[in-house]
Amino acid sequence: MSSSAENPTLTTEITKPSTEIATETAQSAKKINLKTSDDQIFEVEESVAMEFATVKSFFEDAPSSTDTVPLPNVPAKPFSQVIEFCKEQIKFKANPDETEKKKSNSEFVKEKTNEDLVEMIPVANYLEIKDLLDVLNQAVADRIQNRSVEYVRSFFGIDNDFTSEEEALLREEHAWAFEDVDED
Amino acid sequence: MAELIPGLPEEIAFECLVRLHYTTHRVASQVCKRWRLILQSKDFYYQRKEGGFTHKAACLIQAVLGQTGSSQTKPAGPLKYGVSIFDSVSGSWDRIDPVPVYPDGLPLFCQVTSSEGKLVLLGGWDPVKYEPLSQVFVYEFTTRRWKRGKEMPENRSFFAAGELNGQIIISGGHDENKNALRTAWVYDVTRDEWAELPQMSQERDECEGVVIGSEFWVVSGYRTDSQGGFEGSAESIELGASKWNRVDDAWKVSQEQCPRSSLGVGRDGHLFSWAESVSEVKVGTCGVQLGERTFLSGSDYEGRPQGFFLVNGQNGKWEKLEVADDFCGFVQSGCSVEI
Repeated sequence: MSSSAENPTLTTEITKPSTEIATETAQSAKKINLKTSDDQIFEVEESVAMEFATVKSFFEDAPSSTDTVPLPNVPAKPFSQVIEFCKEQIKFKANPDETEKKKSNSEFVKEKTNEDLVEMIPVANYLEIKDLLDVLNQAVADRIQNRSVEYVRSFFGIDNDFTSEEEALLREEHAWAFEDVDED
Repeated sequence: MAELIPGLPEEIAFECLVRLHYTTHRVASQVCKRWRLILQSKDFYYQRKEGGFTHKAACLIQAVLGQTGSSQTKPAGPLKYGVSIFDSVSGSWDRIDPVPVYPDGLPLFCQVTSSEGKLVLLGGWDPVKYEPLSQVFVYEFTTRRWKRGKEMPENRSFFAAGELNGQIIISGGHDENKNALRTAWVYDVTRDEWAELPQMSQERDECEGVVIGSEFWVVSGYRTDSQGGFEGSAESIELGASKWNRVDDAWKVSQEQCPRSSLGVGRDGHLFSWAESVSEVKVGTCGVQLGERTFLSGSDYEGRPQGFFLVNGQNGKWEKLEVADDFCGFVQSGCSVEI
């Protein structure tokens, strides 16, 4: 998770995952290049990039900088999904509608796998996107509702650190906690 | 120390746990040792409350209707009571497992109140022998278990009870000889200790307790020598205060009326009777305030089926609740609990 490519000169690969946006918006919209930990470069509209508090303060600290902004803690896969979320959010900034926004957020979450959600959380945290972090934290909490203890452990990759004696006690104490849950 | 959630910073992992629905707590507390410690901590409860992740639920002492398939004849004994939970956010109903020593029904007329997301049952009468009890039971939603608390220091029935800052206050009622009481005690649920409070200005049998701001109010009731002559006065106390503040004419109702379970508090703090305000619940009224709204149950005439409602204030908008047969029984009393 902490692996990073510190040296920006190493990269040559440029990806444009957001071509459809590039064509439908004004040519004049300023783009910003953001480079992920696995050396992918994303060309992102300035308005979207400014949703990332970390990137925003990068430019505030060095306004004249035109270089590619390195995001050493951000892998490409979750980052592309984070961009997807922020593009939607911007629409609601211009036209606030809480009901629609909630609907859009829950649509966004619904399409994601468990792995997607857990991978996006550190990215949203690093980029300081508070709305997304709230949505993800809640989504993760909702995903484990009505699930078994085993399911929750494998969801997060948590090791069972109870001794077998302690487990036996827990089972006795919560005999019913192993019933009434959805199948894994 | 093991990470709370592998790959996530501690504070973020904590934010995920705080957002767990309370029904997930019993499973989550068995995932690993750290989760268990956190989920059972007081701090966790207050973090959930502060973040707005707790649910305001009405916890009701409700008659459990007979099992279908048993004989059609009416039960010879009195109604059996259980604890029902109505979650006003999700609209769901649930019934809590019975107290282990009372598998066939709660002590009659027991008091229920809550403390920091736990339920506290106090006193009542033995359902078989009709003897007054001083027992205290505490229900933990995290583990879904009842545990026994320290018994009430005096024998007491039909008293007022409520929570201030997690501490349970009991006051008034009557002793085993039907003498009305003016004594009051406070119970620290976490430390499992009782301490005596100053005495009220007068005896108050069959009084009702309610918390308004930082004060615990004891409303109406009657003295030993005026059985059933409900008083118009009330008195209040704050934790740590050395005396009660008495207010005459606080309980202004058209006739001398018992305040138990039907007491409502208006936005400006005035006291009123739900039985008098809403004709649909004028018989067997029970009102439980849940934030802005109040859960109401009762019927319009003696012997008619129970109706269940959510109302916004004394004269506000209201909504009739559709309730499954299991939860249609008479509600004797209730309290709000934030779980």
